[in-house]
Amino acid sequence: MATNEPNPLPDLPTQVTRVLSEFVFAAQAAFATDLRAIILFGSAAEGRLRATSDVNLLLLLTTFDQGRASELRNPLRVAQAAIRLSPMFILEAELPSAITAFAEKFSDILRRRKVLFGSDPFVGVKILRKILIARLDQVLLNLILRLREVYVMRGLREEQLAIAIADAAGPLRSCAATLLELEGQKENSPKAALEKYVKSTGESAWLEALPRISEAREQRILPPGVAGAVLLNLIDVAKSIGSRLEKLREAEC
Amino acid sequence: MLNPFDLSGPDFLIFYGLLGILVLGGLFVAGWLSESGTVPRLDYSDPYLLAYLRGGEREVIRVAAVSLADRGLLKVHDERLSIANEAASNLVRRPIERAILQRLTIATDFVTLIDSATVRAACKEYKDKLQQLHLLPDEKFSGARLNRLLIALATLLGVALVKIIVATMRGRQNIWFLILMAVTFSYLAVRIYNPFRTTLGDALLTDLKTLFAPLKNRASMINPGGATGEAALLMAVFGVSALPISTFPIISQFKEKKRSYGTSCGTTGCGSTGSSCSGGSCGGGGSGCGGCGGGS
Repeated sequence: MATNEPNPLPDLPTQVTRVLSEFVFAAQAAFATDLRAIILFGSAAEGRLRATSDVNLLLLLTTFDQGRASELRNPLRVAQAAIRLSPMFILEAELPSAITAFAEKFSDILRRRKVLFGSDPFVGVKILRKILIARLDQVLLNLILRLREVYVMRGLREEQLAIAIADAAGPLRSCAATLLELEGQKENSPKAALEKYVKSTGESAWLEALPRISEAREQRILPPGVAGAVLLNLIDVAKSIGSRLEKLREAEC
Repeated sequence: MLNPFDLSGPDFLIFYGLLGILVLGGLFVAGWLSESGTVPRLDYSDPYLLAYLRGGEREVIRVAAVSLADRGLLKVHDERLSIANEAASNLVRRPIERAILQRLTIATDFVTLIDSATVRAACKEYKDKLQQLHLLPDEKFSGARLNRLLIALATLLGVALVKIIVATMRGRQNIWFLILMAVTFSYLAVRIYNPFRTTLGDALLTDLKTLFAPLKNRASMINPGGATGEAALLMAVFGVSALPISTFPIISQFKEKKRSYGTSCGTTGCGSTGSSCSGGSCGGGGSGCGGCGGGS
């Protein structure tokens, strides 16, 4: 369905709606016919934006014209400061390879998105299971390695660990959602997907860590003596998702 | 009908007190009504425009200087500011930034920079723009404000003067309390008649503060270096002190030491905290100040 009018925004705070609408308008004015679509994705598309969340936006273009892009610099700086707007400028021609290269990220976009302008470029898009499994494996491994480094590097400063937990929670939740989707148990909300996954493992320590993860994301701080254990739990959960992914891969081979 | 000038001393003082409150209230409400309207759209992407709206020239210069230091284009050594490299002034886009960097080819302290005529002249475009949008009072608004003040003063002082003449003719000497009240009310009228911003300007600043409240809440997460406009916009809307000193220790170098800055605040009276007010427009207690303190 093609449309040139911005679609109604999901349930978002008033200021976010206002700034986002103004940015969409500015992007339309700046890129004009080069702009194919504007897609809101992530927690904002779900209407579950937190105070510390980024507002993720994908701008699909036919070409990246310097003059037109320059017109959007000031509106973007305001939107970035006011609502943490984080845009991705992608060309139509790049979309297929981007979906393949960043399959895990785009599987999240496929699950949680809202078209703010233009037609939905993801209608009918399916990411190959093989590619998604390989990419999910990469993302998980990267997450595990990064969290280990964080634990050793920042472990003496607990407040830093809480921030690392907050930052890692999003990708881990998204990985859980992708795994469940691969297993045929689609769960659009990444938070709910991680909860479902952890419950399915029956690991009580991980279950107890879930509210701490939410707490870290909302407050960016955890009570003394908690953050280290929660971060190690995150590593274990990531490893566990990786193991289940491996079984899935073996079953398909 | 009762002639108020026939009232006894204490009764007249009560009458005069009520009159004073009525006149001051009228002065405030008349100003508010005459300067209100539809809030215009403003370019929120220019932090210096927003800084001027909040606190005038001094705040523009302070925000610009801190921003340039954060971006590494300006350096501070022993409380002396200077350009970080010769090409710095060619790297910036905005006239105020260029004026500051050109002034700092010769190292100087922050107070001298803020008092620099050439740097202040670069702020004029902001004042003009804000006046065009009726966010700051222009000559017409200032004239109307002065007229309202004159009417208020004529009422307050005229009534007091007539009563003093009547009382003196009737051989009464206890007029000093009335004189004190007349002076106090007149002083308050002078204080409130000419606020820095118009009602529209206040409304827009309130809107800005609401819009950027989340930015203020996550100030501790802003990274130094100037990669984004977050630090500059935060300073512009809430004052330099809104930046956390732990991640932006440079801000401590941009406070004005106590000195006779009141001289640049015009005749309407800045009080002792006028250091970050704009020149000549600090009426209303300098509500737009705040760069040194906690922001207004």
